[in-house]
Amino acid sequence: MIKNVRVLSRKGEEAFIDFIVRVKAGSTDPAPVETLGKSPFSQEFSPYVEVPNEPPSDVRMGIGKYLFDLFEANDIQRGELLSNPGMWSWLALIWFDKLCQIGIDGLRKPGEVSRYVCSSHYTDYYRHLIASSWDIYSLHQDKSRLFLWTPLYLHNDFIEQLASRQDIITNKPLIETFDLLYWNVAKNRPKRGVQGRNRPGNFRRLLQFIQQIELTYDLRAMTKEEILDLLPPEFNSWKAGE
Amino acid sequence: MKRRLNYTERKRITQDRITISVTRRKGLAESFSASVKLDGLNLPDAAKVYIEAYHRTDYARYVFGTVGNPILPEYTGLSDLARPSDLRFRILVVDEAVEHGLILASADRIRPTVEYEKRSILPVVIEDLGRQVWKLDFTGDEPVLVLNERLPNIHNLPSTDPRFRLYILPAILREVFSHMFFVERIEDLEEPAVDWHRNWLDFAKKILPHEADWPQRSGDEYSSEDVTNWINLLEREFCISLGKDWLKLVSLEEVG
Repeated sequence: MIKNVRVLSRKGEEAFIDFIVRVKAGSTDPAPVETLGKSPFSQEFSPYVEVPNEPPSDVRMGIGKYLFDLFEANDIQRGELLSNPGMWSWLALIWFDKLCQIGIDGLRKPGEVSRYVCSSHYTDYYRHLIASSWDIYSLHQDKSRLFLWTPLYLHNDFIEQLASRQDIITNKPLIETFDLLYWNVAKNRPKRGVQGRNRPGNFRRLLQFIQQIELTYDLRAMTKEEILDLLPPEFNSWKAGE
Repeated sequence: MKRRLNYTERKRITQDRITISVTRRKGLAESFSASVKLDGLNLPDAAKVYIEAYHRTDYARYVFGTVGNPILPEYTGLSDLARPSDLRFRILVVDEAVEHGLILASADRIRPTVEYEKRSILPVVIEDLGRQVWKLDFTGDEPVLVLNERLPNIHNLPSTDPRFRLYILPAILREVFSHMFFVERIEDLEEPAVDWHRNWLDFAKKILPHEADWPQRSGDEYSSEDVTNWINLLEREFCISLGKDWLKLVSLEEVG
């Protein structure tokens, strides 16, 4: 089934939050998709765009790419999407079953509200499971895999640590460097140990190193190879591969 | 506190050297013009001057020529950005003659030209905070008070409502200085390395002007006990300074 994209109003967002709070308390009610799919809880998104009832992918990368292609095809500007949190909240509402799956005990265990109800404030915005998938994909396409390789319902540490930093997440050569160092192409997943805090050259160490040099070098104008040249020896094993 | 080492003697471009004007249409940022005075900073003529506009994950870079030959680029459009309400700018002077572009001078988090000397030390942003009334945002390079746009008349509350001032401002004061001392671990109260530290400490000096009241450094740091006592004292004196608000509050509470 297909739905026209809608935008949750404040009233709609309030009702969505109420629903999430009830689910956290153990309610087994289904997501109020039909109720909130009408005025005054939501209004039609303009221009008219359709999305499927079920998310077209179970992986964040797939959703990011799907929405990126969809909005590109409909010539919708990035700025309009970034400034429309109600639209992202509505998408999370209709795809809630995949964002917050029912466990074997018949209950859901929702994460923090900002994963489903999109905040206009950037310190929370990047936590939204759908908005950040689209946003990061639209910035980096296939190089966003380190952030978006996980299932739709997971908010991973790469997003938490890197996507919250505007100067990092918008820096293409830097994200390419992270990808080159930490993505295992053969296994199509992050290299083993990349998140281990004790392993030399782990991704948090790279983040620290970047924070040290970003005021000295014009990182945005450098290629990933030039950034790699600057890295101290502790990163050599990551450059070499596994 | 993050240490910012400056081995390359990078210059700081102060705000008084920068003029940035944003043209808006129906409230939306459309384009900007900028001038940056770089004289006296001893920068090589050939160094490139870049101005970057950014907001959230939106970002655009514009080339403003070189130090010796500044130009206003033909295109300084901002309409591709996310129609920001609080657009910031970054200015970079880069020596591209060396192997990796070396930043010779910079300024960051610059707002479109305002009377910056009159600027509040606590910028206020009105945003949707769900069910949270307010919060402080320390993710930028100065604390920002975020108020929930869902609350009626929220724009006017800080300046008009004594309850707001008495209930929230002391808590803000406490949180800001706790963050400064215990999270960012300020090293030197006399010569703070961070702009917002200096601004807030200047503000605190107006409330507690006597040096004897201030925490003293023992070794490399200030003792937690000293700092906590000082913040308590600061908050108490600050509340006393809000005397008129106190009277108004009492009167409001009595009336119900």
